[in-house]
Amino acid sequence: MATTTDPVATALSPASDHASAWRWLRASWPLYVLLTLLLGAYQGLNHVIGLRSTHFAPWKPFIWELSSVIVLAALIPFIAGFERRIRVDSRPRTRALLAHIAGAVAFSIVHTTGMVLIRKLTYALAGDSYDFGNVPVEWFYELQKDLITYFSVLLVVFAIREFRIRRAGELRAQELAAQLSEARLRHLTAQIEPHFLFNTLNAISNRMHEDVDAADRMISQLGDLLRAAYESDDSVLVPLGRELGWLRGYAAMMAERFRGQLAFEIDVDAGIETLRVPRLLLQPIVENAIRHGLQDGHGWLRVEVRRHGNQLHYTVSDDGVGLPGKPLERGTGLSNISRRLELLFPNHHELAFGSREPRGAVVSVAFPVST
Amino acid sequence: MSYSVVIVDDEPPARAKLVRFIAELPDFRVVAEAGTVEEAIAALRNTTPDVLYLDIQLGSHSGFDVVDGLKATAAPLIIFTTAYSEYAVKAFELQALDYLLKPFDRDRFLRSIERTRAALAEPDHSDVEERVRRLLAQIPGRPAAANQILVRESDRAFFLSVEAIQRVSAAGNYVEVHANGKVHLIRDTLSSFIAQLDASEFLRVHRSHVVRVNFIAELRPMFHGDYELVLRDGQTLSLSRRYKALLPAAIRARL
Repeated sequence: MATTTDPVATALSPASDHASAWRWLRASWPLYVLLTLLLGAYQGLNHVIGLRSTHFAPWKPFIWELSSVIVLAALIPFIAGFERRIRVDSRPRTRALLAHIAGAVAFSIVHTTGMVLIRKLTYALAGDSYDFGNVPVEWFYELQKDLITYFSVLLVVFAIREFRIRRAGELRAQELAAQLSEARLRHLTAQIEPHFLFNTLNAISNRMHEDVDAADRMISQLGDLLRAAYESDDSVLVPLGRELGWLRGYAAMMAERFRGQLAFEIDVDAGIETLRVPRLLLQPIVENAIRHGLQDGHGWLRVEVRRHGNQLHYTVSDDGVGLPGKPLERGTGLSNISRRLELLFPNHHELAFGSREPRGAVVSVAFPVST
Repeated sequence: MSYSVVIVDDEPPARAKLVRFIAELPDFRVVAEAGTVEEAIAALRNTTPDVLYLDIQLGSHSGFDVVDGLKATAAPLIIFTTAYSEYAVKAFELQALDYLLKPFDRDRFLRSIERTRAALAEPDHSDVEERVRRLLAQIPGRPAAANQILVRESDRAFFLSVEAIQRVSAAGNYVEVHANGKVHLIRDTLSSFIAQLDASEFLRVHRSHVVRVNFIAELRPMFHGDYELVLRDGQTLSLSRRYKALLPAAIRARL
């Protein structure tokens, strides 16, 4: 579990948020430049209209506004980067406030200097000269405007990040819900396979014509299996006796269905039925063995449960076709077991697949138990 | 005269139940039982039954493997039995094939027997065979259709591209393969030969004729509800009522 990367968690990390903003900028910079120019042109147009009574060369207001907007656009990524380092909502609040006031002043100095340089340069190119006016007064005029601009940019950066986090959180919640219901469904269906149920009913419907008492026993055993499947018990560990109750019922059903073809042996050490074992761990192993041990319609299956000190050992052997391919490819049931064991007893369990001579397979499981 | 039956199921109680039901019928008799694919194929070769009760799940194998193994033998009428197999049941319904869902009672068994009697009374079951062929094409995990087919003529052998085949017809112990205006004779039965072809591209339109879908130009109604199929090369084939029902809906809609 620890090795899998969670895409949602990754999307939430600030580093990747920043990276995705950069990726957007790198991919869409022509759009960014276009928007900047449009904004500058719009502001310039506004300025021209506002000054219509005075006599100015109409290109000058465009230069004033464009120079301002271009420098602003160039500085926005730096503001966003600075905000990422010292978030507006970070604590202590005074630190964030002071840092961003300093940031705003620095922004204003760079912004004003940059735009004045551009204006001087363009004026010079047009054979004119640009006069910024009274430097402290003009600079103060720009500063009060830049403070508002700076904090607006901060607000937008903050809002975008919040929106992303919320959306990622929703996605994650949806994914978790889906995984949970899938796990529940798998859990339920894993307990009683439809094939198993309907074939057993068919066998009972035949058996009752031969031996009513035997058919009766089968119905009651099937009832026990169904009850176990519908139990809304989510406990992870159950007494071994309950696992064996399921196993004996299942074995009896299979022995009826494959009468004279299947030998099913269960061998359990005495006095260990109260030990706590993982719920329904034996079932997929046994079902898998039945599926492979019965390939030619005949076979035997042996389940041993032994206690060695504080370790419990399950050994399930059959005389089927052995282990074709990788053992875990033999069924999702077995890979589920390996995952469950890893979660329940990290580094304290064993799960081994082997071959028997001349034919067949052995699956053995060992895990710690406490009384 | 009674119809011979083979029962294939890997579970003895399931076989016992069918044996008991069939024993009550005067006109059917069980000639063999089998629990595995190999036993089933051997039993079918030995007894060539009229009817086959075939379980879909045979251990880790499938009843469809039995049908694959049947190729060259005379095909029995198949009644599929299954406990639970979603895709198979859908496919049975689509092809209007008879099947029994386990557990079934005597009434359901007898209803299926009525349909079986009616089908056996027909002289020609090739349309049912065709339904089975199309069924197999819909089951996931079946072998893919061939791209090329080996043709042995008296003086040479060569591969014929399936794309070139326009129609295939039965002719005694041979099949005539019409490809690009030429006719090749191959020693095979029609059922066995067309098992290699994609069932969605090649339609059986008659017990003796199989045609590529897009080689059909026109359908003309004839007497008694029968039709005449006009092919792109101008040749005509008769199409019986039973086969008309097997045509894809898109073609039937043109009538």
